[in-house]
Amino acid sequence: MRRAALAVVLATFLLPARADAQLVTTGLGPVYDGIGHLLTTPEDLVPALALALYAGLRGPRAGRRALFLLPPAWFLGGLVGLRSPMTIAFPLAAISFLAGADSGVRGLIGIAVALFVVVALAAALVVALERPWKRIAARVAGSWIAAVGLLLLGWRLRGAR
Amino acid sequence: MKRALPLLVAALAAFAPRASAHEVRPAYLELRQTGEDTFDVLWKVPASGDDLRLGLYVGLPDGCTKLTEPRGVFVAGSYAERWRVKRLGGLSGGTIHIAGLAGSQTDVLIHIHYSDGRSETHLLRPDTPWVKLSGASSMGGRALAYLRLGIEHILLGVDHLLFVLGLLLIVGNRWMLIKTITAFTLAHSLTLAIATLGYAHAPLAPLNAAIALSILFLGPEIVRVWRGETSFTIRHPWIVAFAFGLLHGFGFASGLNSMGLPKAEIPLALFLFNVGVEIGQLGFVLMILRLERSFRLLEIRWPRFALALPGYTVGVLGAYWTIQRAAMMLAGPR
Repeated sequence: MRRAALAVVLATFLLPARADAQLVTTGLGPVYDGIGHLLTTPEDLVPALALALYAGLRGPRAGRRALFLLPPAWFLGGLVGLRSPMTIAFPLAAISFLAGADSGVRGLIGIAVALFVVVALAAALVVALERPWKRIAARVAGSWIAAVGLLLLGWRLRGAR
Repeated sequence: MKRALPLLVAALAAFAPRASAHEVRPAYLELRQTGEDTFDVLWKVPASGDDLRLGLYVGLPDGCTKLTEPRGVFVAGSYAERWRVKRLGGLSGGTIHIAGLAGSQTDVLIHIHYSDGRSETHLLRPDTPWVKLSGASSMGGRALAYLRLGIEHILLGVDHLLFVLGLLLIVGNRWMLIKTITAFTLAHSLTLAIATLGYAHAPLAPLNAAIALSILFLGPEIVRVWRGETSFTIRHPWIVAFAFGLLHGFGFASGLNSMGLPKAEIPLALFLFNVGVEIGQLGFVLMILRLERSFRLLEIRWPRFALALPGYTVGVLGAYWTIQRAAMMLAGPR
């Protein structure tokens, strides 16, 4: 499970992102644009959910760590991405979002807030699972996400030749 | 905590949304067919005082010619213009564009009444500041527009959401929570209906200051709960929720009143706008409750300053908005 989770993280974050990554304009301001962006962008939402599932399966302590580390890390990554464009996926998604929405740091705050809520809810959901078959279902979901990540990685590497 | 408080106040004041930063009242465009090719135009945009209006301008379909020059007046927080236009063959198939909408954070409701009884309603938003007219819109389309307005109004009304958060931090158990939220909902629905139907009116500047004051009022009560003390508000939060809910209802009504909808449209608009507000409010309450449960399941032990933070945040923002809005009220319209 640990290797699978690592594969998910690497596969998702290292995939080259397209410059025209999906932008969201809610019309409710940059903070809501940031929230909408995370919730409607699978390449950002799915790895966040995968990490939350994995952390939840490892217990409340891991869940807490994911909750308090991932959103600030994402926020900092976005800030760095604003200053120095990088080639890994999530800063690029943030850059393209920020460039399109002209929303600066407030958009990133929206992303971080949405991420905090998503990770808290998903990790706590898994922590609360008591019946073995439910925990197995969470592992199956994680495996599927890992498989999708690996497939996409292979697809991108093949296409890059 | 005492050392951190000035820093907290400064930080919150720096990041607090300014009272005038986001215009949540939508603009309204009405076109009423008076002849085969002629239409009376009413264009209302939110305004402040007697000389400050939102920079939104109507672009009517190509081929429209003005039969009369626009005459504008500032009235009750709005700037209203009326004129008459002519377009051979009617408006159907033409495109209305609102200049300035893309850079704003408000909406524009468009209502077209045709002389044969058909009507057409569209809600334009900053991401789509134009619409191609089709000749008539369905009941479902109109309903969706009003519902969306209600949801947007509560989501952009940070002060309303902060008041609800304050109530959630005060209530002690589930039954009291249901009573309190129900009381707040009933109260604001009541005044929303009264104000929209025109039976009562609250001037915007003192109303906004009073809404800010209701948030400031909850700050010390939250700190009392945190310290294990009690008060009338902590024992009966539903009474306070009802009393202040009456104020907040007038605030919600500003979202509909500024448009000056035709009387026949008001019952549908009022009902669905209120439903939209309730959907947004209920979503916010459920999210806070689920988050609180998640924190318990993840066994998070918050430090003392973090436990006090919500109370101080509500109080500081309430105080900031009260002072800011009271100053704006006393300064009068610019």
